[in-house]
Amino acid sequence: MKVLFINPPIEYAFSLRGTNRVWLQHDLAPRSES
Amino acid sequence: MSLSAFLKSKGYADIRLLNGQTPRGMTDEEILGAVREFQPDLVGFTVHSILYYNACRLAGRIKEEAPSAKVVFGGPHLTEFAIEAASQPAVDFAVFGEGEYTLHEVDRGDGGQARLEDVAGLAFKKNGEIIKNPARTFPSLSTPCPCPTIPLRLPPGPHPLRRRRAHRDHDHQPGLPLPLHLLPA
Repeated sequence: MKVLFINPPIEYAFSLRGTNRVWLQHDLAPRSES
Repeated sequence: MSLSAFLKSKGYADIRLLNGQTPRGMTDEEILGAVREFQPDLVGFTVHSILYYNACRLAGRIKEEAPSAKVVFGGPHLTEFAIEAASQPAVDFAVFGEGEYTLHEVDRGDGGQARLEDVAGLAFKKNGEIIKNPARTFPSLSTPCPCPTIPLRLPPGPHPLRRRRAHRDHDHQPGLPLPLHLLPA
């Protein structure tokens, strides 16, 4: 039997009420070493 | 990884982990491509509340891609919302609480070797009704459970738990065009 486990991607972490700014997960995670 | 290790100890050989939470993320098409290539019999989702709608949407598309695959939801969200999750059309089984033994028993029950009604920690559909079985008692510390599987290949890019290098790199001086030892005196 073949089993596949998936961690679904996060599209956004949270949005701030009263603003149009949606914080992407990429905004929260470090992108590069430099 | 923990579930994978447990199932491997029970003789399941072909198990894959797909992590869509790398910094780059994964598109639906990449995930569906992996499903198309692997053709799994069982697809397990780790569901946190913030991932729930994403997971439902993906599960629906996976069902279109591989209708014979059973979709299982598990994870922290299911602790409170197992019945709601099991009522989703694309979800076959909702596992709440610790999932190792439950998942193994679900597979046996699905194969006709056990009754699904006897599997603790499981919610599922039967004749249009949602049945939620009693919770599984927490396994004692002496219950054998193998060490989690460590993926051999880490995803590309910086590890999400690793701090930025600049914070601990002594020769990096913010505001200077070059590291201090390379600047002319």
